[in-house]
Amino acid sequence: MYVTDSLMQLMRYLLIGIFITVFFVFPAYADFGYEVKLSGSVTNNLISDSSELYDSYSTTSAALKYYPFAQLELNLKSEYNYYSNLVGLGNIMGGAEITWIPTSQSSPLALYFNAGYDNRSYRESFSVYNTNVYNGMGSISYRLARRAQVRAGITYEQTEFDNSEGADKEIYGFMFGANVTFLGSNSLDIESGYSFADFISVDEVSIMSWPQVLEETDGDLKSFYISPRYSRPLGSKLGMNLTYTYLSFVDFDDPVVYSYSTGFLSPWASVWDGNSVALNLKSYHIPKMIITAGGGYWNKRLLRTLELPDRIVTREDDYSRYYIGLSWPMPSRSGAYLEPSIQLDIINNTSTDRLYDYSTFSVVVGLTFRR
Amino acid sequence: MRFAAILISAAFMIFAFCSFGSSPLRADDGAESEELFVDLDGDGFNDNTPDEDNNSIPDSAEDDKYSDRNKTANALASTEFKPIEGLGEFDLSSLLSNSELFGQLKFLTRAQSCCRGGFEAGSDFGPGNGIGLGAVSGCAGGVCH
Repeated sequence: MYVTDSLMQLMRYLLIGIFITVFFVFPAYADFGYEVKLSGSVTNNLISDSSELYDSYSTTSAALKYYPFAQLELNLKSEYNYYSNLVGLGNIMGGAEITWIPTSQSSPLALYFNAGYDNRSYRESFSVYNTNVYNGMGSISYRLARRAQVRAGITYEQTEFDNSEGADKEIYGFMFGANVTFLGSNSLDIESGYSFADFISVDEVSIMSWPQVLEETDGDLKSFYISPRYSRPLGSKLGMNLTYTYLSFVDFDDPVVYSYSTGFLSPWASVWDGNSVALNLKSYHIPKMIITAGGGYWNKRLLRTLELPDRIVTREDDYSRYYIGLSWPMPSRSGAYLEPSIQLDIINNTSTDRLYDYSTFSVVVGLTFRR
Repeated sequence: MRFAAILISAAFMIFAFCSFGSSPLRADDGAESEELFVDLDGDGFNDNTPDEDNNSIPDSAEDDKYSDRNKTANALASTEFKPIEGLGEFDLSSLLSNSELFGQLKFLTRAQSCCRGGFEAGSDFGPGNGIGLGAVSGCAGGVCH
């Protein structure tokens, strides 16, 4: 079911090999770019549950981008997160990414390929969450008419946990979409897709056995989604979009999967079916600045998780989130770009499991510099 | 599922109507002279609106920029030079760096580089959904909600 260790090694060497080749073979035509981001945040509920753990944290990230020729971008990236109260949650990420766009600007057909690898390592007390993520994507779009474009793509992602193999998963997906403009400046974008996940589930009978000997089985999860998005300007300085997403598990047999007490770090926190609707606004009313604001509601059914030793958590959430942000982009004639920003977030969540009844307020201040 | 099927059908009916009701892109149909509204990134603004200073704010939304430009244009009106003619087959893109050319290609594929559903749905709500905030991502400390 899983890609073997030797194949993973091969992928790793292949990616490194490609990087070395293009760094040394094409330097005459190449140019570089880099980006540094700094952010600091305060939240009254770091781990998104009823414990309401207050913390502040900072994120520093850097990326070096290399363009051996015009169709190719190589990106080496790193990120460090520091938490002032829950120090053990501090982590460092390193990764590489390659993006190839082989088609020309004048062609109505566009191809896009992307592959990447990330490694994230936590401090000792949270090292169970250390992960390696491999991902790839290929997509194609075609401009059918002046106001209509269609697209399709395939995605792949593999998540490996260094210290807890039971949480590993592999996801394949394909999607297609269409974008049309109608009646002047109204835009409708519809996207639909299907995903498959291979993972390890826990046999429910074995959880209740005494003495407990957990039996693992190979799981197979399928999910369908469709998401229409309507967008339009409201005057010359305000834009909006309204997005609805319907997700549904297919042939669902309600598996039990491994989880961890820190629910927000669970490998399954983002896997759910249900509905969501979100309204986003973008405004240029303050000169030289961009205001973004939005609100959304999600109705989620999450997978049943096993919290050791034998607690099975069944969870359905009503999640709502509101945010407002302000950014001040400052490009210079020399090609440098500086952008300070601030964002406020409010989250409310009610759940069938009272542990996950919570509300969160957070403030993030950031600074981006790139060249 | 029935609801989803109705949605898909309705979407494709609208799509077919708009696609076949409008003329396909041809070199001689004067498309370049008309500002065409396209919103692939979903921010509600026309992606094709010029942004001369690359500050991510369309020129049409910056009143002061337009008024400054008009003042400058009026001041230069009496001493205006004619544009250079006879560039012939000169390829302007040859003046751009690889990163600038790649940026243009990436702009063309902006709708292809992410998807809204699958098993990570919702993680890109807010700043990550095309209405962006730069340094502030939808993720906190390495975790995307």
